[in-house]
Amino acid sequence: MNPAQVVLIGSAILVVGAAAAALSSRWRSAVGALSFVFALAASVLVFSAGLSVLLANRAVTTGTLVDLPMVGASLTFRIDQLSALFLLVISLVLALTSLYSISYITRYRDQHLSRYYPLLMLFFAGVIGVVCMADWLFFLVFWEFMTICSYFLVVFEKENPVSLRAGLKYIIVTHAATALMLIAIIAVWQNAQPHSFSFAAAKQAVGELAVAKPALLHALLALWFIAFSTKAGVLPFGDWLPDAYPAAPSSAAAAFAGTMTNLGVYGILRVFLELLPVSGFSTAWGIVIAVFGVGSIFVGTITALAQDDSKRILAFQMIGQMGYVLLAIGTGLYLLPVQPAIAMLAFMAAVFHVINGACYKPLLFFNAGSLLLRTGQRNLNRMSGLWAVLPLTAITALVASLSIAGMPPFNGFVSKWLIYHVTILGAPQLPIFVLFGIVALFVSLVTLAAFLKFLGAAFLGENMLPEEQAKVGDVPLAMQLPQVVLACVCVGFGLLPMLPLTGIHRAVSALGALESAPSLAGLVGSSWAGLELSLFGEQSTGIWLPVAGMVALVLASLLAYGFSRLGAAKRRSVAVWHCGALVDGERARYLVVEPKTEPATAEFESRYQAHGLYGAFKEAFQSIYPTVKLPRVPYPRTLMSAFDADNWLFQPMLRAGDWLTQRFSRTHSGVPQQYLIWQLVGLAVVLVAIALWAR
Amino acid sequence: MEPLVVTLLVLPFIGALVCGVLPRGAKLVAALVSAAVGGLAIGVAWGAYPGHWAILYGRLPWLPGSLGETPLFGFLIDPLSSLMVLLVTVVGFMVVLYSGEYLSAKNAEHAYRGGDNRYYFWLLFFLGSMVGLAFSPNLLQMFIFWEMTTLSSWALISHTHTNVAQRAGMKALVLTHVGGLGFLIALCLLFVFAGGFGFESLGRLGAGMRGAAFILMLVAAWAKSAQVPFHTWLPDAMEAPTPISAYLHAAAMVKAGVYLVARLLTSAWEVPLYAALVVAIMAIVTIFMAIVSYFRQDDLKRLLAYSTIAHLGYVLVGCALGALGSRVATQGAILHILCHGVAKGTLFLCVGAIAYGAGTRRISQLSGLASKMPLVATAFIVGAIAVTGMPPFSTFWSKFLIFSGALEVSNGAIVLVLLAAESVISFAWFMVVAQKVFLGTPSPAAAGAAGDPPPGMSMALVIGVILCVAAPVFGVPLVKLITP
Repeated sequence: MNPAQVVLIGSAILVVGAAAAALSSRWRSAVGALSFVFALAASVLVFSAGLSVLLANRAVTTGTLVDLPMVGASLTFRIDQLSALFLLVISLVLALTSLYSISYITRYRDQHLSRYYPLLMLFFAGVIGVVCMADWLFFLVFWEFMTICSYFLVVFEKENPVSLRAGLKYIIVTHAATALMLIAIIAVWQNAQPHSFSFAAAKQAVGELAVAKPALLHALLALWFIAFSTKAGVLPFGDWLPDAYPAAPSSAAAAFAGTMTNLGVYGILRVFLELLPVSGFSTAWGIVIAVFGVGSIFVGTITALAQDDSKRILAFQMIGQMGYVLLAIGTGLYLLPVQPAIAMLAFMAAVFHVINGACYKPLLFFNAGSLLLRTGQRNLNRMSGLWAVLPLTAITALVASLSIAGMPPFNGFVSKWLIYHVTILGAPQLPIFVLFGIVALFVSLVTLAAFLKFLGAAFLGENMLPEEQAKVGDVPLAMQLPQVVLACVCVGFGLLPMLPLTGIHRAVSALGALESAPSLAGLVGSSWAGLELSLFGEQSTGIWLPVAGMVALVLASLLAYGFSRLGAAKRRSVAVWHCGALVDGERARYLVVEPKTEPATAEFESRYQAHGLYGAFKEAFQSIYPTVKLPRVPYPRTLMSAFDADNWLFQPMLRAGDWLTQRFSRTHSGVPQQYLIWQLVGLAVVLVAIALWAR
Repeated sequence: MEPLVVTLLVLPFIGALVCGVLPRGAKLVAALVSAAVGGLAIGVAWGAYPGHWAILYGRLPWLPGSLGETPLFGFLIDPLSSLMVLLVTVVGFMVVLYSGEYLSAKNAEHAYRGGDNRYYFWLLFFLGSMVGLAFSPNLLQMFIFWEMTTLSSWALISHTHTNVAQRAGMKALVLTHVGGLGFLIALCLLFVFAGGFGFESLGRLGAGMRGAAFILMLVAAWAKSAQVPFHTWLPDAMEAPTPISAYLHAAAMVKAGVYLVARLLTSAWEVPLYAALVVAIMAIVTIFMAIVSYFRQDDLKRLLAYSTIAHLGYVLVGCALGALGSRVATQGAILHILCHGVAKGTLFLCVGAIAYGAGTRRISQLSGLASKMPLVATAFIVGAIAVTGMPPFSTFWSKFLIFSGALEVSNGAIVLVLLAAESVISFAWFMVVAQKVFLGTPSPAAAGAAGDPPPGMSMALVIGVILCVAAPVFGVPLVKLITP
């Protein structure tokens, strides 16, 4: 059995699992474990299949499952190296999310679980389907299937009007984007000879369009780009994301963050690297994508600073991080025709950032979910001091925050480091890339700031939980484990970047445009200890040695510890120290006050409260993320009456008929003389007519 | 084959008579007859596939020349009529099955007492007429059955005999019948100038006369299919019992109009260019009139009625694109007759189930029904995404064919963009409505509602959901045979 068939079986297990979960959803305590068993089985199968494809470095296919020769489509699970890479990520998120859900979903006591586990598993089946398709029609089928499942997960709290609104916005915006993609797909289908939906036929059709109808191709690429970046959450198309992700249960949001948003990038890679030939189109679209990327980085990350809701911070950060990915892809596309080596590195950086994101973004949602479970809060103003109660959540949240902020030695740093590199190395071609790189670099600090707020507000300060609740301890094991696993991956990929980069290199070079790309050793060196970039001949342009750095750090720490022991340093407890001044504890603690209940005075702002942080920043960038209030358009009266054909067409006709017959009935007067006159007039008319005719 | 086909046409009429006089048990007889008819129709369609099969019987000796010598009435079984017959018989079975429990005193919206004989007589009469119409080998027979469906529509709309229902029934009768006069005049033109009633005789007319005859029949089709400016009768016809709305006013009778246009188009492929443009423009006007009207509807059935109007417009757009030279669009249009029929039928049956349980179909009074009626909620959402064309549900395939056909015609991209916009808007509005009705905190009406409907109605809903996925499976092979 080849890996593609294994993935097919994995998806089938998910579907069966969904049915089983739906049937057993009445037993609230058992359904979670049951679903986890199915999910784990599917996850193991999919993971092993993905791994074997990457190891063999060769695409596999199941053969045709459903053939529709009448429309030129066929359902085939085809797994190439890029699909395999995404499958690895998906299977990891699948297993962890299902495990986490077992305990987490008990929080929603009033909701029927038939609307959670079956949909979660079907959602993952859809996600797996999307990355395994090599046919646009079935790609679309799985894409929409995934969307509709995720919509029902977003509106899981079906009595909550905020969730309902968010879900509606989500489904409408993404469906509209899919309609745009459908138009592009139909146009390409129409231009393929013979009409076919397969990626291969689309590639050929796009190649022909590039020569014959460049304007049309630009329009189609725009449609595709909008469709995929809507899903990925790139601004301004991703405006649904900050509403929908917080509305979904944290476990589902983690699943979306780890898989669905990344499929937007997957789609962009497929279209711009597989369908599109290397040409002037790549250059032009490279700039466009990079600009959207930088815009998202800037706006998304800075808006995240202003949020007080733990999940909204994450949602905006996801938009920002997606911006980094797009910036890298844009840079790579721009450089593809002239500097294929740097372009290759850029795409690798993009995919690496996606994979890193799939580790720390679900982790952060898990963290937020743990906080939600134990405190019932998403509002950071109302949390404090949870480190003491949730130490494991706190440590994993710290790891995730440092990763997403791009701090060494965590995984986020490596991919961001590569992204800064390629943007700056791309500058000789187009100087604006330097600016992009600098924006990306500095906004990274803003990310750190946003997560310091998250960490500080939730975990530092005085413990907010009452004694008896604090005694319960950290979240249940089923929720701890996924957090620990993802944190370990964040650290592991940071220390051994060669491991993921080997797979990524295979995945990216499988795409059509990069078949003749340089080898991995030629790009990032061949040492497992770190990366050595040598893009211009022998000269090395950058070196990153995380293991050595860590060893040095550990040694230095041991040394410092040794000194402190040698010098018999004493531990002292002092009051809170604030920028060189001692502040009294009462004023400096993390307040549990909402801004709405207390006017924002200067004193209020100065206190360490989530809302009070970064006031100057918030003020300066207040309008960067405008909230558009859709005006209520009154239904135009003229339209109403225009549509009412009864009123202006049929009733007047009836009245006219009525009037006419009334008039006519007046001739029936009963007076013989009148009838005689009628006869004479009639005779005269007939005679005149005959005379005219005879003439 | 021949006895089967004859039985298929005659059985509903016999069933109608039996149901009309039986003191009790009319619903059982009707269910058996409709099930038999459904089975027969599947058999006949299967047997005739993929070829054309025709048989003719009665002649009219007083007609001049060879016209009087050749038999005029009978059956024409080809992909187009097979598709139509499958639609009317399968949905007919669903509706009869559903009616059995819907028309009871337990109905919370309107307690039905008595009148079963009348109801099933007209329902089976309509089923038979529709089969006759679909199998018509020429326009004369089609016209006769055409008016028979109009008559049953009148009777069934005013079934409850309330004032409003009678008014609505009369309005539907007058508007569709007056439009039908166009059909009659066109028949006369064909008889005089082309010397025949065959579908292909349109091609034998001179250019000017051909346009006139086509436009006259188009007027009849517009009236039957509730297109602008004859659209006003359909929303009012929602006074009919909901299964009737599902059957006559979504799946079958209103499809007769577009069926006529499709028939004329695929028989002769001789529709004048300007007439095609008229069809296209009026259809797009209709679609947008309907979609703008969505937002004002508080009655679920009226909303669905406007959606039906829009989707019949889709079929006509596809036909017009076909007349302008796109084979694919024609196939899409014909497939849309089937795909929309099952999806919209399902939606109507869902609304009926809501009204049956909750006693109202006002959107403003309904909220949070999903926990009470999970099956209805599922069926409604499947129906809604099927009718708005989310892949892989039914109308996605037909819309896809129409969309891609649009690109085969010069300047067709405009049509494509307009239709895609309509799809997105109607999807959005259906999601808004579905969310309002099924999710959220239960409203008083929803809280007091009974659960999912009784087994027969539930069964009909399940069949509908299955058809929402399965309709293209047997629809696409049929429409792919329709080529010039």
